[in-house]
Amino acid sequence: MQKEFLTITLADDDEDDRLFFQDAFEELKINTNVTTCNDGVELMEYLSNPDTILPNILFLDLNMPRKNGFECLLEIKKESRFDNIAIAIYSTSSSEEDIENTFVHGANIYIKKPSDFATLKKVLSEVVTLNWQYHTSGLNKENFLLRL
Amino acid sequence: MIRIINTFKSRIFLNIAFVISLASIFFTASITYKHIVELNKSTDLVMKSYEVKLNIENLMSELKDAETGFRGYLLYKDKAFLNPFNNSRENVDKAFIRIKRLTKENKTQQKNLRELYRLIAIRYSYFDEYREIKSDYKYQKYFIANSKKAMDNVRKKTDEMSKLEDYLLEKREKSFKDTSFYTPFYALLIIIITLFLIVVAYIRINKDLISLRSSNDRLMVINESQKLAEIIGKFGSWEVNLERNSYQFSDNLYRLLGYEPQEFEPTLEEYLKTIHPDDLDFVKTKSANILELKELPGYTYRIIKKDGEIRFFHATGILIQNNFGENILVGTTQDVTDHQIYTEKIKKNNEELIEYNKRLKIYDESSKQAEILGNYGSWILNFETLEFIYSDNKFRLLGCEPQSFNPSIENLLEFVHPDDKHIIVNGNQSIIDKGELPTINYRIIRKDGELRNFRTTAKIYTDSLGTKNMIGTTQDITEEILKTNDLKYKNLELERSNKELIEFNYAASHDLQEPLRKIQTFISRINDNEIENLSEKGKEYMDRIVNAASRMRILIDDLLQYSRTNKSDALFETINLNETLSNVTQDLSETILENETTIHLPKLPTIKGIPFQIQQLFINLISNSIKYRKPEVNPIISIAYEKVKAKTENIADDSNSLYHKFIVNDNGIGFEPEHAEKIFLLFNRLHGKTDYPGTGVGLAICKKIISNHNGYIQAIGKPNEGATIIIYIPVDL
Repeated sequence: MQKEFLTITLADDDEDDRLFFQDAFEELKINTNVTTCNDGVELMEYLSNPDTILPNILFLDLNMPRKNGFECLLEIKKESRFDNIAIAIYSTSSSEEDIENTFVHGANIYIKKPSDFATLKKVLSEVVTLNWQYHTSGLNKENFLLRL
Repeated sequence: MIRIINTFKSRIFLNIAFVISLASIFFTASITYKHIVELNKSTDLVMKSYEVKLNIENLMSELKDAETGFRGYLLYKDKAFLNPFNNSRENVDKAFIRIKRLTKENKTQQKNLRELYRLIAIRYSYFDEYREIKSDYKYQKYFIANSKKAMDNVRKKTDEMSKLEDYLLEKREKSFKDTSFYTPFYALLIIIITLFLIVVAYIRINKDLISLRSSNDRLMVINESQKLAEIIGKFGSWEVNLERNSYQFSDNLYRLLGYEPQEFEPTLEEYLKTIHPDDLDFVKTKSANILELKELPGYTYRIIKKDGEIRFFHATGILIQNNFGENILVGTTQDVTDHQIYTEKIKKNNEELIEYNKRLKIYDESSKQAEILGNYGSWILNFETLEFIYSDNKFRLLGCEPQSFNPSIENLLEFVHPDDKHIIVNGNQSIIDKGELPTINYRIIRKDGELRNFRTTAKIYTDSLGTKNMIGTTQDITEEILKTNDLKYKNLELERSNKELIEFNYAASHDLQEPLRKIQTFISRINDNEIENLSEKGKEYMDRIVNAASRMRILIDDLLQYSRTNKSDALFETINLNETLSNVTQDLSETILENETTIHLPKLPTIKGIPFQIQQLFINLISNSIKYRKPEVNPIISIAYEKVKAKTENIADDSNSLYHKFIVNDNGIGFEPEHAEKIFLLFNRLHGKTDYPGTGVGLAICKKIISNHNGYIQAIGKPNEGATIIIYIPVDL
């Protein structure tokens, strides 16, 4: 365990999901600092703010109003400033198309939102404890989608 | 024939001439001979006359000698003078005998001679008398007188005889003269006649010889040209002497039969051997009645050449009689194979032409009907005269009576919609400039005012006379355009509904799942934290909610999978099925282990297909087999594979195409055979949800995958005896 807090940001327009997300981290008892944004525009504003401490892991929902997750991914990947942010796609969709596109454009992992809370906790725990350096260097299409 | 008569005449003439000349020579020769004989005779007679005369004179001279001698005796009494007298008697007798012999044919002279003999005898008697009496003068006187008288008589008689002989001589000399005058004349005549006849005969013979030689030359030329003609004309000639039963065949007849000239004996038997067996009786019948008919009517038959080739021969002949009155059949035989072939060809061509003509008529009629049915008209533009010809239906298309006006570009333009006139003008320009017309679409206003759409295509065509024409077809495509527009509209509609379906897919995958996921998450939260606060009934309801929600999730997942099983966005790749099946068993390892399932896998081929779909196919099949297991029997699944030809299998394809055939067999609960088709339908379930949970989508997905691969899927089953699924996937896609 690191002394510092792990900074985590979630961009999701769904209130329930944000609630589950936060509840899960609370129950996981990991030292995390979770910030949430309600949509893509808000996320990009937040990230662009010089005062913002950039998150270690960004959970990105795809289907959002105003600016969707995919657009955010493209913008983030363009900025070298955000190079150290690990991007986890966090979506209801498990369509091949979405998985393929986000993989190609530099997302680090793809999480399909689980349909029960226990699984959610397990997934999130897995993701935050992941050795990102190791994962990213050996990233391929097979291990991109998180399977439990 | 004419030549034969000529020679014949000439021969008769020569015979007659020969006989005549022989006769005349014989005649003149005999006359001449007669003359010569006569001449000889007259010469003899003349000679005889001369001899007679000579002998008479001799006689006279002897008598004179005797007289002279006696007179000398008388004068001189010397008996020496009597010697001539004594000799003369002997000589007189001798001369007398000679005269007698010479004149034995002349009775007058004989008579004279006898008289003379008597007179001479008298004279001699006087001599004898005188010698006896001797010197009596008186007597002397008497004696002298008498002896003179006797001597005169003798002289008189000899003169008479001489005269007669002179007369005879004169006569005979005259006759000799005559004869000797005519004899050379006759001889000359003979020579002249003979010479004349020889000359005539020579001229005649020479003339005949020349004509013979020239006709011989002509015959040789004719013979040679006949031989050539036989070769060129492919015919041979022959001759049959019916009396002697002898045959003669020309060289070319042998050649026509494929033999060297005169290679075989020219006999009937040998010739019949060459005739085609099927035509042998025919030929025999044809040549049977020659003697009655006097000719061999022309007929055609087949022969077999030495080298086996079959040829057609035409034979014809005529009966003639030669100089000996023998019946001779002369004829020619021609190889008419080429002619026969040619004739047959012409016959065939003719028949074909008739057939073509018939077909053309039919075609003409049918094209008229086709124009009406197909709503098109045709036209021809003559490039040289720039004249148009329209078919009847082209007029009808314009709303006019057939051939009701003289078509031209100008009156065509009157029909064309004002906005499209430039299309026709440009098209016409293109025909004039480049000699071609691109396909053009334009609108016309029919005579009755209706707007129609036309399409025209045309092609250059050069007819057999070398005239360039443009043949075009103009079609009324109004209906077609309406249909196309309709189709376009329907297509758009389809595209729209397809888009809606994709949108629905997305909604189903995302929007529908989201609330469900939340429901399930909240349920899990209640189950985790609040379950103790619920009554027993509440707990039971909660269980049911959990089941219903998870069932809904499975349904949505399956449905999504089904709708995603599309061909369009997937690529066909080479798939090693051994790897695929290994992945499948990996994915299903949990279920497989749980159910203690045995799977028999053969060595599988490499096929062409959509990898994730093929994998899905086997996942569905194997999980189905496990799902519908018999409760008390561990599942055994065996997969068999072979490569087959379509036509040997019970599938809709009966070509020679090759298919991969997979048989997936299990020992599960099976199904009623009547459900074999039904199990592939979407949402179709054969069992209660409680016994065998399922959505009825699995096999429907399998069927969809197989149809995406242009394959076939069949199910065979019996209750409690397991199910067999047979899959056919084409080897070449």
